Amino acid sequence: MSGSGLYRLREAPIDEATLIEKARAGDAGALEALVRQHMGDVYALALRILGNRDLAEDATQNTMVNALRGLARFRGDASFRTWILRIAANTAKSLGRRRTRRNEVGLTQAETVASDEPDPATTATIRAEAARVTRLLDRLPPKQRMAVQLRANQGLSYAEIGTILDCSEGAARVNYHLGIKRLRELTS
Amino acid sequence: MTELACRWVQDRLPDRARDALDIADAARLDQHLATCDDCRAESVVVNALAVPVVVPAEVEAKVLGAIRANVRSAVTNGFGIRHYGMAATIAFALLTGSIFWLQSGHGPPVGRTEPGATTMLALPDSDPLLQEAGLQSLSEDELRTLLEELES
Repeated sequence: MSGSGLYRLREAPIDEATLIEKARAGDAGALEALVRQHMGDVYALALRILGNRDLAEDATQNTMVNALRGLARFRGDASFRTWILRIAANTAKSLGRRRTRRNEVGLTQAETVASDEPDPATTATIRAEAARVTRLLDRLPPKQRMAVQLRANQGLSYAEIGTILDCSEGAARVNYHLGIKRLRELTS
Repeated sequence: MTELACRWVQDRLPDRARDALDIADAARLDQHLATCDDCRAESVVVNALAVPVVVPAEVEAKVLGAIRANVRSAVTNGFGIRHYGMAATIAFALLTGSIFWLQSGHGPPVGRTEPGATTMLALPDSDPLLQEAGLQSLSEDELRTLLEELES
């Protein structure tokens, strides 16, 4: 679920800017397409912040509803993906503060999938390794954890991560590298 | 390996894992990885983290359901508020306009008929029979003729 590029709505390719305009005008189809396009990123970030699948589900739902209600406030200064991930980060942090962390697990193997789906044995190895590393991710401080998640899993730039985490681009870069360094220590 | 080269590579490992580098950068990065143990070890961790998260089907269905419900309620609420407001404005405008129109003497002379004046129904021009029904405008001979026609 990449946040950029073209996708199809009613058999016609529509870029994201057009989609946002249509959604603002009340086009339910465009709104649903936007939600589908970004749900994976939102859920992945919420899961990483909260460490709990039920809470991540609630956070995803709240994020999408909040984004829908606040769509008129989206000015396009940042990309829509950055904007919605910032809402997701704030929603998840708020939800996490209100509820105690329970069922602290990383991603299960069922929740990860290899992008190229090679042979089943390789896929299983990739999934197992992904599950092991993402479990360790929960042991990082929150900002490092989010920086690593947003950079390594979701491919955001340091500038975008800075916008989401409300810090500078340099601070985002430092948080990412410190997080990766710590993960390497934990996995070795 | 120079520290600069390692930093360049490590900054781009997530993009390499997502296959988001151009061909030249990808080749340069792969060449570096082949000879640098440190960067290769980091790439293992980054590649594991880059595996996409799949949204469970039930989560997707639930979120989309919530969005649809919110769109419906937003549309319904918006429709109600807009149309009640519009209806009230139109009603007020019609009422005010009618009052001004009547006060300016354009309306029918309700309640202030001149003595001796006759009130005639406004009838469509297209029906000659109905036009002729204004009996006051007929002479005595014409009335008699009409009566005879009706009786016959």
